[in-house]
Amino acid sequence: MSKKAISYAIETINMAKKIQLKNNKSLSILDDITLQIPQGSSVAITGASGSGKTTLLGLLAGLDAPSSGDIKLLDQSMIDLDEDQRSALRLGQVGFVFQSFHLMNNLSALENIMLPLELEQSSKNPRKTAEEALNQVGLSDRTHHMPTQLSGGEQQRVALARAFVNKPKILFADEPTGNLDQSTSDDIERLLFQLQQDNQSTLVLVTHDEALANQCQIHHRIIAGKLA
Amino acid sequence: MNLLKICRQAWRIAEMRLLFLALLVSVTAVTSVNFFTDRTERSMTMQATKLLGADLIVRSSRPLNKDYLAQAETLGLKQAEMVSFRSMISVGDSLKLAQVKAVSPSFPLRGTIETNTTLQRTGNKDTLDTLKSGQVWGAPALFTSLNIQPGTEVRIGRSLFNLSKALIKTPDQGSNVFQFSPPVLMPIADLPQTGLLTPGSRARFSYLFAGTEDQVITMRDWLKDELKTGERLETLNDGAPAVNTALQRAQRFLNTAALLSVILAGAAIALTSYSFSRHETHTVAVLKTMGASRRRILYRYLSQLFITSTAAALLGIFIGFVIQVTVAFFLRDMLKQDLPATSIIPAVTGLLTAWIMVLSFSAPQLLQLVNTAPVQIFQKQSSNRGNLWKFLLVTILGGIFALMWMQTRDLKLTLFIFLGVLAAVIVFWLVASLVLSLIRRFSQNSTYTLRSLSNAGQRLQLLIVVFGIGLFSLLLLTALQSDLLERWQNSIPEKAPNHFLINIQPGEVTELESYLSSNSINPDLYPLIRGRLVEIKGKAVTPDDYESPRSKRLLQREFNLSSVKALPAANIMLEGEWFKDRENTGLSVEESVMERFELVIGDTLTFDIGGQKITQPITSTRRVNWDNLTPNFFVLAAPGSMRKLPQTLITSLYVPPEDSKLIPQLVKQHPSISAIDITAIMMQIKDLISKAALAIQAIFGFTLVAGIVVLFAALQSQKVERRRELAILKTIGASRKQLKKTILLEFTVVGGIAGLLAGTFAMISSNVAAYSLFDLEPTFNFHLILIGMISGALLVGIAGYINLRPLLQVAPAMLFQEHEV
Repeated sequence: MSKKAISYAIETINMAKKIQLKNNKSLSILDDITLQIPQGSSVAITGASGSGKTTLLGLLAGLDAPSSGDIKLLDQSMIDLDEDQRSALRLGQVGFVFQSFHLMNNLSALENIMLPLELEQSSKNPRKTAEEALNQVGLSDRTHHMPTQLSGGEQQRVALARAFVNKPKILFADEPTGNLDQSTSDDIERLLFQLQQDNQSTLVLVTHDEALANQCQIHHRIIAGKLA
Repeated sequence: MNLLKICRQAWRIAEMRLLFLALLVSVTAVTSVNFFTDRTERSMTMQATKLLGADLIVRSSRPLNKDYLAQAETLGLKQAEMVSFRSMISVGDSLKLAQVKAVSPSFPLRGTIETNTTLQRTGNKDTLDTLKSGQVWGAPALFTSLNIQPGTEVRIGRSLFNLSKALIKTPDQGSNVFQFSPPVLMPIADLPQTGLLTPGSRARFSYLFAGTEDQVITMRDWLKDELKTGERLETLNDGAPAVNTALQRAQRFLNTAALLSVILAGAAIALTSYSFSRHETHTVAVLKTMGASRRRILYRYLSQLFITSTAAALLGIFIGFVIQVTVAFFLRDMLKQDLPATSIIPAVTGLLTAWIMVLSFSAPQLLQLVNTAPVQIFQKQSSNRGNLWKFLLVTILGGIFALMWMQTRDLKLTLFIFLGVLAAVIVFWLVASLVLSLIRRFSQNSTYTLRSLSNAGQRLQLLIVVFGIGLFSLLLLTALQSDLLERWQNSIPEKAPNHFLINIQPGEVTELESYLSSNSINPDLYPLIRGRLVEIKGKAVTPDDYESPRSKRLLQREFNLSSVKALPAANIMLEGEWFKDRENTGLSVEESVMERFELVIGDTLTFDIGGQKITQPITSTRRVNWDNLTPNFFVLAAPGSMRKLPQTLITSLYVPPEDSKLIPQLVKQHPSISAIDITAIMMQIKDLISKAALAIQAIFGFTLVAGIVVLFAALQSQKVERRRELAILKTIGASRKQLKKTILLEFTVVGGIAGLLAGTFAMISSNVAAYSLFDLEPTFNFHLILIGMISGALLVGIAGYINLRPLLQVAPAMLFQEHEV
């Protein structure tokens, strides 16, 4: 998919998410979400536990479908796309960083980073590109280490390298420092924003860490499923 | 991504290694059993054909078409000719009716002849090369009745022959126990000069053939189309029914063993696949966040599974082959013969087994896995797999059925085991859920250890079903093999009859009985009335009315009818009632005759007995155990109904080998009585059965070991499952001792319940199987339940503990770390 110039990286219009309960009642998780995220910006979404911020992140990235409303990712409405079509939209354009890293335990640090390149099949030499990415996050001496042999901070660095290796247009981060100590968190935060700027990616960050949120250009708060 | 890389990465997943191990063990089990059964089956068939003297015989009452020999020549089959007829052998004034067999020098094609130049019971291997023109060999009974020694000149027809050796053993002895006249072998080239073979003389002309399995099958099929009226084919099935029954049972058992090893392996693979798909959920979600399509993910897993299963299969085939070669090597001494080489089929079956297993046990879980919603990446738990089990049940059942069919090509056996296992799975699942709900109810206020059991819910249910099925397979096999071996030992007991006395005149009975009882022998005497079946339900029948050669034969020859007061030991009543005392109407008919002529109880049969027509209604149906060496009859009449008809009596008795004078003396006192010595046949049958029994024990032992290994492998999957749970428990302060107690209790209870269910089910199904598959009488061995429960609790308890013990030693933080994806 070509990476053409677009106005908004993500745009939602009256988006809502409800879940059906067993007793035929429904529970509203998100309601009437309308927002625009400009290309290249950094956006923080904060809220209390259970406020719906992770659900919102999932919807923005097309991991889940909204119950109503529209959502556009890179100018493409996702409302009529099925799961595979949404996947195809993400391929090579979207990166993820998670709180619990989600590295594949059966792949080495380098192999984890190569994975998005291999899926996208765009890089001629995925190994070399991945090595460069690993170098960028300062882990060139950990190339063949398995995730279980790395510390939490190192694992998150590998996850960052994996997320940015194919220069995504959008990076979604879900509590990227939630599992790390303060000093490691600071390192990771620095690295995250640096990579975002280097790659000119849009950063959508979900966190309950106000200090981290304040480093972003735009800050949305979500309270009981609604944007404040 | 290239396949090799996918595999290298897959190998790093614990469950994939387990799957590989489970598949490896299963394929090893299946192939080594298959390799071995393949070889032993062929060895036993080879052994059995020795009793027939050939692989295939065509017989006729008229000289046979020489084209048959030419066709055999073309196909490359070995061949021999035999003309057999009854003739008087005379020495001076003494006469004895003998069964003369004029044979070509290549006789016998299978098995050996043993002769002796003295009248001892043992013989030495001999070949017809040493039977010169002008010489004949005769059974010891011939020498005894004519009171002569080897080397005496005897007259057969117009010619004089030198009766040079005593014929101790011929391979075709087993084919007709009731061959009343002692056999005499003569060179076929000498036959014309006897002048005995004139057109119309009653002789049996036979061509014997032997070759490879393919050659024999081609020849048999060709002959079937060529046969003319009066000509018939004889294979092992016709030749030696006793041996054939034993052989069929042994083959069925070996197949059952192989089948059960498939089920055992299936249980282990199901458990591992379940664990695998649960733990790959997050990986799939991550791949989807990166934009991987379902097709791509499916391809990734299918490639992993395909390569894993193929590698496991190839290694399993190799190990299976090595094991079987080793077993065969050790058994060679015991079997006293080399086993024939194995074929490629078990290897192909091994490969197919691995593929079918992986596909049927993993495919539904894989499809479900591929459909994992990417949003699950944010959830800690794997998704609910609500409807999966229905789909899983269909594919697993389909897979198992395919494997069973492939293994046995025996629909009855496959259906039996399949339905048995299906019923077992359902019952085990229901009982397990009942027991668990009981534990739940009574454990609310008890200790953590007991409460943890009730919380384990579905996982325990799954474990109970898996181990239940595994133990059930092993117990069923145990029960069947001991039944079968016991039955065989009983069928030819230590002092089984080794002589038949026939042609006893009613007037001789009292004197004969007193002579025998003075030698401590008290046999049952059966009247023998020969009659031809001429009418069924009042309607005249002739051989031409029936298509099947067997039906034709039954109508051509005379039936041996008898009447006895009590149901003979080797008979089982199927329908109707046995005769009451002094009842004088009614017939009890053997089941195959009932089927053949489509008879039902109440139908009448009319026999022509010495010109006198006797009509009687059928009052009962029997199953006859033909492998029992006592007189057996197709038709038994009510005790009082045949008294006035012309008859002789027949009996079988055991004469100790040291009592060598008893029979000759008896024959001297009652010259009309013919004594048939079946010691040699008995030896042959005993030998064959002991070989079959050895093979069965070896296979049983192997399946048992393989089964236990597979179940251990299955438990490995629990290690991965429990890592997180144990970490949490440790974190909140559970002591190692408490956890140890919990694990031990859980696995002991699982094993105990599984064993109890397995034992009960094995007891029921072994009886059903004994009766319907192996023709054995049901016996309720309640000890199976106890064995099941104790061995289940011990085996699963210990194995479960051994498996999880390493986790108890590890610090909780490590457990968490390794668990995270």
